[in-house]
Order: sequence, then structure tokens, then C-alpha cells
Amino acid sequence: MIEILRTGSHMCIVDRGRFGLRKYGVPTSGSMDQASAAVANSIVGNDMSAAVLELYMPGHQLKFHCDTYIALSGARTQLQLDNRNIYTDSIIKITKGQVLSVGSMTKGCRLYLATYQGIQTAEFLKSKSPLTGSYDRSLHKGDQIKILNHPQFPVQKNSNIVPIKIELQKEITAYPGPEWHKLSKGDQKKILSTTYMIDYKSDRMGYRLNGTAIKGDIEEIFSSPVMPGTIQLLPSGLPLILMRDCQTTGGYPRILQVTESDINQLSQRRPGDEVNFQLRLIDN
Amino acid sequence: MSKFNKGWIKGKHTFSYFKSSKYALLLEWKKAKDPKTNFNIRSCLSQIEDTDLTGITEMVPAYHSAMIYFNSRLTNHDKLIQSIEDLYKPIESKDITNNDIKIIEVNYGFEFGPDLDFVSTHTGLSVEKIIEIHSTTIYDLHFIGFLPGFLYLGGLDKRLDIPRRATPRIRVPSGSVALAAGQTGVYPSDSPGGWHIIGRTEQSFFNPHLNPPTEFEPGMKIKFQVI
Repeated sequence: MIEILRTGSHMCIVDRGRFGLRKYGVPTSGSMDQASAAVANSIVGNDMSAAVLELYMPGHQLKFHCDTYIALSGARTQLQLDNRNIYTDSIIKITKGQVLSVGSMTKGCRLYLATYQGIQTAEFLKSKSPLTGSYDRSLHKGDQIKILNHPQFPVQKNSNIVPIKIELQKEITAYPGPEWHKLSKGDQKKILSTTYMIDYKSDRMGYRLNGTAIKGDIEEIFSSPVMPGTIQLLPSGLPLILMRDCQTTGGYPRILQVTESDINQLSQRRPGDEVNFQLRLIDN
Repeated sequence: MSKFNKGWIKGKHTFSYFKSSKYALLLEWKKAKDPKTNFNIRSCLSQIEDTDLTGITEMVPAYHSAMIYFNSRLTNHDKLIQSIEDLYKPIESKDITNNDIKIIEVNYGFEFGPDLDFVSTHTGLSVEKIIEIHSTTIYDLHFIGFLPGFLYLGGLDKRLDIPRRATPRIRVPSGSVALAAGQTGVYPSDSPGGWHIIGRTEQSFFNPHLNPPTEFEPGMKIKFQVI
């Protein structure tokens, strides 16, 4: 069992997500940075579907009540196990009673903690990921999370484990969205040349961006499917990037679609970080 | 930038295709909020489902479009487009009609419908007339989206078409029956919302402990009833 002594900004249990239920309005959810969650799982020898802890921003403190092995991947983070420094992307032996402290994140903002065979929480509609609205499952101080006792050194199934390279300055690649062509060439150019800044009102549902708004008038559409990575143009003339907990359909024009790997990159950017877009043509 | 063009692909049928992401193909029909379009979308998706095309993971319908999500290791856009072009046979909507009407009981007005007076002022209709119009119309369930269990209904009487609230409410209680922007619907869970609330229902629209988590599906007829 893991006992939460302190949470930072936000902590939740996530897995790859909840699929097959979008037609009922259920978001796919899942790890914001799927690549880093997969790396943490690989290191402890888990299947990719195992549930992990998503730790957003510094300040978390966790106490382990059993002997086990864990791995952390994602944000570059100062980590301490009791008073000893430990590192991401490696196997860490845990002895019952030890406390993990998540210190400052020098690059990125989401860290994934994988335990042997994953977090043992109940499934909810075929997934352990959070469900927004009345079914929120954010974790708080005092919560206890069931994990498996595992004193043996885990066997890695995949020896080819490459942590993602967090690149905070790199352009985010995006495909043209269904309504991209409704923008004037001038507005398209402006969107692709603007440096936006991630707004403080950003979360697992979506990132609001600040920057130069376009003035072009592009009308709302009839509600139509959207997905993580869909960039909508708000009436203010600024883009909104939908993230993992986003709704299944929406009525704002879909101007761009972020590539899957760059949704992971965006997940490591925090409010105040910059975003530039680069257009990429979709091919098969 | 011209090489990116508009990106839409026209086939031989009444809908167009758009490659939305590496693992998603969008189908879009011309006319939205139209019972005929809604029928065609359902018919097309059920024909795709019956053919059991390799790699499709889920299909999400909306007013005049549907997103087909697929496993990009098993198939690709062009294969899917070709298969859909070949398999889809347009059928007349009279061939399949669903006459079952699902009744949703509503407490209109008072503390359950705080905006009913506002709607009355805005439309020039009496509260009684608004309730009568809203509860005698038979609505088409076009699709479920936005929130788990939120029904997009077509058929709201034009006399009840009013703009959204200037300032959305931070919390609309679960079960609130509301209208705005030519649409009416029910908030399936507590959430923020910008529609005008005219009543409340005890009906459950979403239960995460059931699979499927809702008893509603596109194509159903819906009627609100005064209690």
C-alpha cells in the first residue's frame, strides 16, 4: 500500500485510457504523457496497460507500506527516498516504511510512478483512469493506494527502453483540421508564426493559449467529434488545445490536430511555457 | 500552403472524408440537425459495423458527421475509405423506423426551472405555453456527446430558440432540463453550463457501473412529460 502524505498540484491514477465508449460521451482520458507512462511500466516489467500514478508538478510525498520495486519516468525531477537522492528511468528498490519526496521539476511537469503489476485500484468502465465530472478520482492527502508487495527484482520484458526527450522549445507538429481551410491564408500564416503561451487555466481537459488573437471571423460548426490533440479556435480568436480528458464532441472550429507524439510533449509543458505550431501534411 | 489544400475527399456517396489524425477518419454529410441525415449516419455506421472491417476501434456519430477511430497498425485511411465506398448501400429511411418513444418526466419551473421566467420574457410566450410546446414536441436523439450521457436532441420548436446565457453558471445541477441556441437537453451530471434551465428530471442518463453505461442510443424518439 502507498499512503499519500502530501500532494502537489494534482495526482491521479491513470492507465492507457478508456476506449470504445466515446459514443456515450465518455472521454478517453488516460496518461497525459503516454510515452513516459509506458517507459515507467517497462522498467518494472509491466504490461503497457498497467495503471500508474500521474504526479503533476512538485510537492508530492508518498509513504510505502510494503517492500517493492518502482520506476519513475517523465519530468526531470529531484527525487528523494528518505534522505537519499534517486533518479528517474531506473529501477528503485523500496523497503517498507520509506518515504518518496517529489522535489522540483527542472524540465517537464508530469512524472509517472509505476509499481509491480500496476496500481491495484478498481476499474471503472474498463479503465482505471479518471472520469471527469461527478466521477473525478483525484487523489488527496491521507488516501491509500493498493499496490503489490514484490521483494524480487522485476524482469524487464522490453530491454529497449528509451525515455522521451522533453523539448520545451521545439515546435509542436499538427495536421490541418477539418475547418483549417475556412481560415484566410493570412490567418493560417499568423497562427503558424505566433508564439503562444500556455494559460494558467489549463488542465487535463485542455490547454488555453495566450498570444496574438486572429481577427478572422470563422463561424461555429455543428457539434462534431473531437479528440485529444484537437485544436479548436475559440470566439476570442485564440486556440484551445484539447487534452486527454477532453469531451467527445465540440462546436468550435477544429483548425489543427496535434500529432500523437507531440501530445506527449505538450503534456510536459506547464502554464507559462511557450508553444509554436508547425503544419504537417497527413500521409498514410 | 496551397499543397495542403482543403484536405476533403469526395467519394461516390453523399458524404465526404477527412483524414483527421493518424488513427481517425471523419465522415461528414451536408445537412446537419436533419432527421434524414441522422438516419443516414446511423445506417452507414451500422453497415460498417456489420461488415466487421479490420482495425476499427470505435465510431462516434454527431449531427452531420461521424469519426471512425482505428488501429493504424492494422489499417489506414485509404483502405477504410475504399471499403466504405464499396460496402455502403444507401437505403430509404422508411425502411427502418423506430416508433418507440422514450418518456422523460420533468418538473417544470419553480426551483427546478429558475430560468423559465426569463425564457418567457425573451420569447413573449407565457410560462404555460413554453411548457406545453416543450413537452408536446417529439425529439430525435441525434447522438450522445459533450459529457457522459448528454443527449443531443433535434426538433426544438423555433419559438423556443433563444441565445445562451451571457454568463454560464459554474454549477448546473444534474438532471436540469435546459434550452439555448436552438437546442434542448438534460445535464446528466453536475457541470458548468450556459443554457437556460426550465425544469428538472429524476431520470438517470449515465451509470458508470453499467455497460453500456446508458440506455439511450441515437435514433430514439424522446418526449418530455409534465409531472
